[in-house]
Amino acid sequence: MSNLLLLIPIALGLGFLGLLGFLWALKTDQFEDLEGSANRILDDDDRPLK
Amino acid sequence: MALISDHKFSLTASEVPPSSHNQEATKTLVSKKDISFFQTDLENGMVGLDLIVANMNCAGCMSKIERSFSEHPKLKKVRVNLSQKLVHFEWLEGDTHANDLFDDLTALGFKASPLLNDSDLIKVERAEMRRLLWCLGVAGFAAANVMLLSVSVWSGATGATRDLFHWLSALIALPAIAFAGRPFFSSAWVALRAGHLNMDVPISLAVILASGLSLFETAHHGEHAFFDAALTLLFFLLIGRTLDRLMRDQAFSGVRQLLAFKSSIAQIIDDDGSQRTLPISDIETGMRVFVLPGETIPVDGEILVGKSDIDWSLVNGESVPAKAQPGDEVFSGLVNLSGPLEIKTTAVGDTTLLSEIIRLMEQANERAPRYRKLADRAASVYAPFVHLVALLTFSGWMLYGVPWQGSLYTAISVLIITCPCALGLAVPVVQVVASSIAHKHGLLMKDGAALEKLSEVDTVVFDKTGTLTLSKLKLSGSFFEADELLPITAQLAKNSLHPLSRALARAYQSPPLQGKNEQSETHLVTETLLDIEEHPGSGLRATYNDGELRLGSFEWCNIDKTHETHNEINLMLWASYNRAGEKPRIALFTFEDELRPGVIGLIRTLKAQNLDVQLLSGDRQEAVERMAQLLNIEHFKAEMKPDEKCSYIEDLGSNGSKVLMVGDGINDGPSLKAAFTSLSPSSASDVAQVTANFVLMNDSLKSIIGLFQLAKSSKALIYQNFALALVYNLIAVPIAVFGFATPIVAAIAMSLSSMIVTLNALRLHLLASSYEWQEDEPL
Repeated sequence: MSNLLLLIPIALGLGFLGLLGFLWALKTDQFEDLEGSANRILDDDDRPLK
Repeated sequence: MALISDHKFSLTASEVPPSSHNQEATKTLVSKKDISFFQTDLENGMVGLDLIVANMNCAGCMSKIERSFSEHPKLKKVRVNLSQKLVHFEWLEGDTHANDLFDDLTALGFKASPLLNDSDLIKVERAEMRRLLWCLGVAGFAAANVMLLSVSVWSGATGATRDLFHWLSALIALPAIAFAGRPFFSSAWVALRAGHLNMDVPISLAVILASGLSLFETAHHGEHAFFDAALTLLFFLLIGRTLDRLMRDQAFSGVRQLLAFKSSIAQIIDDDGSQRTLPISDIETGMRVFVLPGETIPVDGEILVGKSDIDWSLVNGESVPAKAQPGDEVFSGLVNLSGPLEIKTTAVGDTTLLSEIIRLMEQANERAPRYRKLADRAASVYAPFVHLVALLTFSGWMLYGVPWQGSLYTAISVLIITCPCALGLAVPVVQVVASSIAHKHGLLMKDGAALEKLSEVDTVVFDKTGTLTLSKLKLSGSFFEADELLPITAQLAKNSLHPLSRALARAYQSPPLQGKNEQSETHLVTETLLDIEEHPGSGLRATYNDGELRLGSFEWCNIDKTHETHNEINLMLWASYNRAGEKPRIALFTFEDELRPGVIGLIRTLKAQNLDVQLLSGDRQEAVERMAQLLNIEHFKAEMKPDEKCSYIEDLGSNGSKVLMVGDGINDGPSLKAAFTSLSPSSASDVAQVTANFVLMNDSLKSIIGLFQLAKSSKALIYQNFALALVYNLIAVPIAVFGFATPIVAAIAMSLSSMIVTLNALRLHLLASSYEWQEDEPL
């Protein structure tokens, strides 16, 4: 029973972190251009962009 | 704003690309005006500008734009959004000018236009999508965690542990359901208040009943709680909802792209002679509007100053431009070709020709029978059925003597297991997949139902000018008394925007003209051609080798009456060369409409599929007849006015034909709306593009064949999905009704059926790879 008191909050906390991560990504416009992001990773040019 | 006056009588080559004419020119129209009108003020003195780039299709284009603008010393930020074909710029006010950025982008080879100022609408749309994604995230999180707790309960937790787990589940599930269920609850509430049922009513009922009963069970130390079932249900339903929304957003951003091409600003001349840029909505009757060659006339009015040729093709389908001079009436939507015009506004806003046609279109919309989507029809039968079965289950078990908790428990299982997930996903999943396939092949699909309609089409009606033909003409024959003069005549032709001159210049493929291509007295001086002048409505003249070279109408070239000929379609250009002491030499060039690539094959394929192909045009009888013969189309009608076209289409419809209308002109707007479904090429007028259900983004019509194939297999897949959903229900409902399924089993069965339906829809990708598409040419 006592391990449950430890494990359940950990499990919930991890799930909650995942949810926060998703909401953060949503808030910072990371789903605005799915096609662009998919292609950007293939761009070989390492010079920084503005 | 200062740049306007410098531009008053000159056009730079980049503004009117030599390879294009009226319609391309229409689209680059705003480049001559001050587009800083479109920029938005940000914090700290920064300004932002969004441009829509029509021909940015791939990762290559994206990095080309971002790389080259990264080197721009004054720009603070440049970012491409490939999905929406947008480029976003930010800079410090005064550092650079919106027009310069626009020109730079054009110089890279991209067709750009500033984004219309409709940010409020966009905000609403984006907020909607975001709310759905929030709900989806929360429901997903809650469903996963509650499921974890449920598994422990199933594995044999009893007593206090089980109670603890149930309470924990309730703690997670209740707020999550209250939050993530809102899209369904509010929709169900709206439907109930209006006095009818929709699919959201049983969903809301199942979710609320399940949560309520679970809470009751939990409080009474009961054995079963099914928060898990309610949440899984919500999660899967939200996936369907989000896909549906995604489809709408795709269509919406397409429409936005099209609207961006609208000529939304105009150049006004004030009484003191100064010029300023105004949005078209602010123009009042009596104002003087300045229209450069290549621009679309923004208002209805009367010409005060200037002579020019006017392209009416988007209005009446006529491919030969008409002359215009002071006193003539012109309408919004016409394209000014050869000389700058000053127009006195006589009508704006609701009384322009364009808005008249839009009004006609709305009428057509009211008259056309409303097409009910397959999914809606299914839902209207299914939703009452589900309620009835659940109710019968509950009362049946009650009568049988089972306590109310047990009866309700079974009834909830029925509601969950019959949840229309598979049914709800059957249509949107297929449509999203089909729409993305179509998009990949250069076809914009504005609503999902259009594809469904397309599969039922039995008649295809084409417009001629601009649809079957490209909006440019082709040289079909020439006669010249001295061949060595041909190249120089073609060289002279390059100095005009007139479609005939453009066609002549194109026919002799000389390298494109560099530098200035000027319009009035001070003209480009080449090595051999001197003093080039254009006289709008008549032709061009120039000095060559001490002689006079003229190109234009029969009268303009002073050609002897004995040479006068009329060819049947009457697209002729004359040239004459007179040099002192020599016999005058004359030339005649004849032109015809240039067919869009792939049209002949397209018509043949359509006819082979037993579709009735027809041709409707506003052009002259001879021209239409010739085209019909060439393409082997038996049914054709010429000299049709917009309302005649529209009523013809309506007649076809009321005789039971399902018509696909393919058209591009302003005059096609009402008929595009009246037709069962409709398609426009990308070169089409704004009205046509906004009205049509499909817009073709590349030059060839060949993709129509692929679109038909796509429509057919989408429909087949939708029916398969319905069949799968039906079979699932036939098996699952009796099991649930007789109480063999617990709510969680019901939820899992429901999810499985949704997944099967989704996987089936994804098969469309495999099927579509073998269809006939016009591949995009790389930039």
